[in-house]
Amino acid sequence: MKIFAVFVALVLLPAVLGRFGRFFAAEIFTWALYAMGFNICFGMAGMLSFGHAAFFAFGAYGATFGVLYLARDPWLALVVAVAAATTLATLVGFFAVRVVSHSFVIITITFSLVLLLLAHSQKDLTGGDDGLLFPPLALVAGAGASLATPLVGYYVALGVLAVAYVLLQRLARSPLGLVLQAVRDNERRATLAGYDVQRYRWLAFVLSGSVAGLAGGVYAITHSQVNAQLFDITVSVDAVIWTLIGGAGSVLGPAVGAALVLAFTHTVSNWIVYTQIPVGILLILIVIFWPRGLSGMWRSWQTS
Amino acid sequence: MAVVADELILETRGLTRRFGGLLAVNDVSLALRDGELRALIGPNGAGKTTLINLLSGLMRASGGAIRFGGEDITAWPAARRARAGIARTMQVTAICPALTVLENVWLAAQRSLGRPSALASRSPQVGDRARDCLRLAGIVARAEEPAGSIGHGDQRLLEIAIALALRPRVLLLDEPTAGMSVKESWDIVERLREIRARERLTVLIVEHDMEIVMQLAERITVLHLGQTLAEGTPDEVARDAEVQRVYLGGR
Repeated sequence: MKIFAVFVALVLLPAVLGRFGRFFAAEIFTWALYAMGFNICFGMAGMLSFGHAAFFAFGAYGATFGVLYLARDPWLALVVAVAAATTLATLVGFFAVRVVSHSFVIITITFSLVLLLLAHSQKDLTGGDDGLLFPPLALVAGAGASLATPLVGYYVALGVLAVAYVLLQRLARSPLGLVLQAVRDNERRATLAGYDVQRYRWLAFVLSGSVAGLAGGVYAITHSQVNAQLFDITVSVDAVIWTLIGGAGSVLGPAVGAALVLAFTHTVSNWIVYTQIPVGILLILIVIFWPRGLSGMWRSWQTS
Repeated sequence: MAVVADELILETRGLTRRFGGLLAVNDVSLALRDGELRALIGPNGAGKTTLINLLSGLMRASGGAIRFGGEDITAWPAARRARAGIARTMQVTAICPALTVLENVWLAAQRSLGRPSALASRSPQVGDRARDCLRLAGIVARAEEPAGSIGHGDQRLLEIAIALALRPRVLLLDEPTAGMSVKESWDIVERLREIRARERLTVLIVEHDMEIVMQLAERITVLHLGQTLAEGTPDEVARDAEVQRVYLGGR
């Protein structure tokens, strides 16, 4: 199991990382989880969403409200995060999955922009650009290591990512995963095989939003703060870019894409102000030459 | 539901489909008896495919009603009709080319046995059913190949296997021999005979080759300009003067 070896390596990695390295790796795990969640919608079910920032942000705010108003428990906060994002995805998905292709894209952009504007206008609730802060949480409510410690944040983010990976991998290979593939590839075929296509699209959309929200929750509890910028369209676009670069055809592809782009951006930001330019060029090259992304390239290289 | 020998399984009353000013299907009343094999013939543009689309639910009727096993299914969406036991094949093959042949059939078999689970692995029971259907269609040797890579004739058979995996009571075949050689066409006819010998099935088949129709069908319905022109046994239809004029004689 190659993936298990990778996991063990990641468990040991903090030994050679400094404070910033650990913090940055936790950041990567969080966004990798978000990208994997996005890809349920895009890669598995074939719906290109430009609004997933809203689910991430709902998860982040959900976790924060859980901490502020319910209990200072990071795990309860994650539950609230998933509940908030799932509720939003259920509502939005109900309308969004009725249309396909560009109309779907427009609906997802629209709802996320509406929420962005609301988040900025309801400063009392969201804190606007300044956001909301809370004192760092303990790993176990009231006791234990602080989640603001990079090492603890690292393991929490890695742990949630690993669990999500195992579940998503199962989903991809499950009967439902195959049905989603059919819904994506040939809607008519799926219908004639007895599947209500819209229902399965909706289900994929909700699952996707839930995982994105879980990532938002991890972000909140490891940063001890959230702000309205999480609703920004750039956050939605990031998921698309990472997934296209990493490859939408596998569970891990988007995570790899997120990791590479974040690490790359961070490295070159020492010399280049507009890091979007090299990332954009990379994206164009990949879309043209390896349309199945890095993971697709890796696979065809392995089989040849 | 008890199956009486002469029970009507699929029935339309005044079924109509309008496309703008054109009446593609105009006041068609069709009654299929449980277990019969009916051929639907007619010149191009007669409304055969539209009628199949109405029966399978891919198109909504502009007027009239459809009853299946005594229930009014006029408002049912296509997926529900498929689950209830009305399976169909498309004139232009509709498969998932990236999935294997087996997986294509597996999808239909899975739905007929229950909702697909998100975390369980694929059940062997479903796989067995799918393989049975491939065997019945005669393409089980192709099971593991990508569906997009098999030949056109095999893809047509795959469509039939998928339809069978739904364990249907009615099978609607829209030109299953389209684009096939004469030999392949007769292979399909053989397959259909075998399938009917094994499963109790009502079949409605759209077919252009009159030789096949005359050999295969128990009854024939002739559509012309969206309306039923004639209906009867192959002999009756062949002797019908109107049919001779608009269809058989015109060929």
